[in-house]
Amino acid sequence: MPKRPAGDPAPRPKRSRTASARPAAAAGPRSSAFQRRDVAPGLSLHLDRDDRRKTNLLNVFWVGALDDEVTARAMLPNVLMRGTRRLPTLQALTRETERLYGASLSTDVRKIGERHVVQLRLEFVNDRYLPGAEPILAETIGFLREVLHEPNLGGKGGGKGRFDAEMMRQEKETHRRLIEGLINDKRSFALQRCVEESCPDEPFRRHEQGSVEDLDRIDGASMAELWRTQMSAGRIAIYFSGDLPVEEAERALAPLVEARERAAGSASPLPPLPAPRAAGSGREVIERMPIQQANLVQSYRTGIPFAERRMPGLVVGNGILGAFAHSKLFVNVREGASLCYSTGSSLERTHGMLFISSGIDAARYAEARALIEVQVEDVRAGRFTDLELDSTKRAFEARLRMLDDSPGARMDIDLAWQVNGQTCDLVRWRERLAAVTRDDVVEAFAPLAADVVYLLAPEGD
Amino acid sequence: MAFGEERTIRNDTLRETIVRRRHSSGLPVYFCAKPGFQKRYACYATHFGSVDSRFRRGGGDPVEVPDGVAHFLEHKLFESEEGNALEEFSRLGASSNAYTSFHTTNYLFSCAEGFYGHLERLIRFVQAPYFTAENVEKEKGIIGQEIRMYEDSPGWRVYFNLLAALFHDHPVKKDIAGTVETIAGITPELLMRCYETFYHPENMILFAIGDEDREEYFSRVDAMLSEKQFAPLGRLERFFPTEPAAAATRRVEEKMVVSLPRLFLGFKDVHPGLPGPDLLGRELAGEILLELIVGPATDFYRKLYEAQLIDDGFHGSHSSLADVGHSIIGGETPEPERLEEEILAEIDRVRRDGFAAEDFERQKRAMMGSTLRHFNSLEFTANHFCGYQFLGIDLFEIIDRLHALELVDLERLCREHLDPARVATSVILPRA
Repeated sequence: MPKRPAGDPAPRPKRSRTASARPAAAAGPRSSAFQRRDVAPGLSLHLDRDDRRKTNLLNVFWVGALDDEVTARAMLPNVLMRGTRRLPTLQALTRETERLYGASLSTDVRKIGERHVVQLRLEFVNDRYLPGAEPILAETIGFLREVLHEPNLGGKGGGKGRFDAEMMRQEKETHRRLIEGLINDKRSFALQRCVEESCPDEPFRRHEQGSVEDLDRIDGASMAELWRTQMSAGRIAIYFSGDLPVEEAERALAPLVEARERAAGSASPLPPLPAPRAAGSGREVIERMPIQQANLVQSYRTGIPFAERRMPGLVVGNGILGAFAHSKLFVNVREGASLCYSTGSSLERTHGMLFISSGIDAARYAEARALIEVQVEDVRAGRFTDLELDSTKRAFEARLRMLDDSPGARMDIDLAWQVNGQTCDLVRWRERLAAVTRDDVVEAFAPLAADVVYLLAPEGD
Repeated sequence: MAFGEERTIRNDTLRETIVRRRHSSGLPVYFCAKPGFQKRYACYATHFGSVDSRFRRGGGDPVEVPDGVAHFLEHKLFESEEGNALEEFSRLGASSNAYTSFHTTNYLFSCAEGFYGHLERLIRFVQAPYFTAENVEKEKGIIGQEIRMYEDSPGWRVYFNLLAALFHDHPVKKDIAGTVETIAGITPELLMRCYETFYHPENMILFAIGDEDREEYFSRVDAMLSEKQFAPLGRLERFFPTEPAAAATRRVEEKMVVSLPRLFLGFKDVHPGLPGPDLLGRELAGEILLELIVGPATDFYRKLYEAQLIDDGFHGSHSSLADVGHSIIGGETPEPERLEEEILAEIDRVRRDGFAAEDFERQKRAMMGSTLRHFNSLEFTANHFCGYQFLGIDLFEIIDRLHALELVDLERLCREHLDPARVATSVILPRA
């Protein structure tokens, strides 16, 4: 949809704190792009060679449950970025990344169903592109090793230490502002409110950044303890994509994984992911704020587990409904009736939910809601043309192929499959999507049931 | 028809090569090969943006058009007699979009297969305006919703409120989409007048990037372009008001539903007639200058961060258009007035004390790395190449310009540009 960027209007993306519940998208053309090495129970390396890019990409993912530690875990990567033993401040650490030709170190947090994933991301220039003979690969990986394994804990050796109290006070305050700031982006705020209303008694209700109430329980000692537990028994997946043979990459990354105090035996267990739930009543929740545009979010339960046979039909059905510019929502609700500027649907495949999010004119709420519901019913009843079906399959095929160019996106997808206990085979996944028929879509949409209709509306209507 | 002069633009640091040929219609056509990439990307851009509100073609009286017309035209070109081009691309496995900036409107698509079919579609719909009274009215509803969406965005509001404070008359101060009031006056005739002026091949660029054969590309493009005849563009003049060096308004505030106040401190830059390459040098110098003053590696940033006056969204950025530019420093803060005082005091200090050579060299290294990183992106390469061409800048020169940059350049810019007489402040305050 035509949008307008501008010179440089939006503030630069924040270091962490780009909270985005991205749907676990689908695939790319290679069958198994990442070679997996199981280093220790719960600790794996995933390696890929890519000689097309000017930079190497390294992602460290910690995977946990959506439990009472969500807030502290969401803060962990930011706390690690506050300094190491050798580089004790954010300032010193930043200077080091600048010296390493602007190596970009950032953090991220997300949910994959009821799994909580926090991330440190490091992108740095490939040695081949550097002026003169001044390789930085080993040095940059060494730098990340320090960030992960040698945080700036008080006390000698760091083994028994705790994070500095003043630093923790600052990070907690920053995190509090981050959570309170979720209201600044009305669209994602409305989405989160709809999730809370839909899942009041499920861990999935939690926001990936956690909650302000939890902050009181967090201090330098508890954070140091969390770091030790995460490093010794947490589930960690390290992904690398760069221009060197996989064996060399494995050797180069050894400092990140070797000789850690990994607990003997297995990693601490995670609770099993829940089966998809039945829907609620289609209850309506309306909240008001002094804003210009209304945000409408409709949630549905799909009733289909991640690895189930009907999943490809559900994915294609969601595509027909609202994932593309030729989809029903865009064509009939936005273009046909001019009812909104933005509208689209997304699947949360791990938790079995579908969300439709639209920016609408509050005065036409009833009309917009009804027309959106008609689109859902039309997919369910098989009221779509062969052209809609074929276009959607073609669009997924193109999306999956282009994904091959983006190591970051491929890492995200591989991880999402892994979290669901599946091996991500993108060639097989493409074949399954390509084989979807009209009947498959209708079958997959049959259990789809409305859960909550949430409207964030301007005041006074 | 055919292509005339050819130029090869190569950069050994980036390891990229772009070939340019001028088509006989007057259109400059570019190609950049990216072996091994699955994605193909192309854009068709015109040198027509939100600031081009007063212009004249081939003598005669200057024409003045309402704010938001370039953006409106962008929306409308997606419509043809057969239907909506956005949907058509999507149905055929490509993803298309467009955007309007201060001085550019850009139409683009990406695909994995069927590249030439999509390219032909791109050229065809941009060359086939279809405006009716009915479809123009309908678009006012959609754009009205879009304007409202941006009115709820504190990041957008704090920025455009600042531009409105910095500039007296320059159209850079106007929101790119205009307002509900200004677009109300847009008619099919007005759109056609702008279209005929700015969507002329001599005022546009076609750029493609991806794993395609160069010769086939140029020969196919030639066939696609040769279907339509164009009279020469003649002389196209853009008129911009003369801006005083000082800001129009010292301070603006707005209340919104936000969790914390937001402060943008802006310094105005006025430099009419600056040649393209110098513009690029100024932009680079401006970026590094701000990094040296307020970047996360500075003592100043550390002090503010530890005092919790800022968070990690705090930053400085510099931007140069053809004749004006601006530097912005700011972010979210619990105490906008105190933060403003701190920033102004720090700028006062660096204007006196200057910078350490070591910090400057480190920033140059960082900038080199982030530039290389940006060129991973096909979209970045194509969009920025076109955008800079319209300002008379060859994007690849960024590497040489960066090497050539010296500390004295920054210190001069600092004294000249970061002048307290040119400052304005924009604040978003939480609604009670």
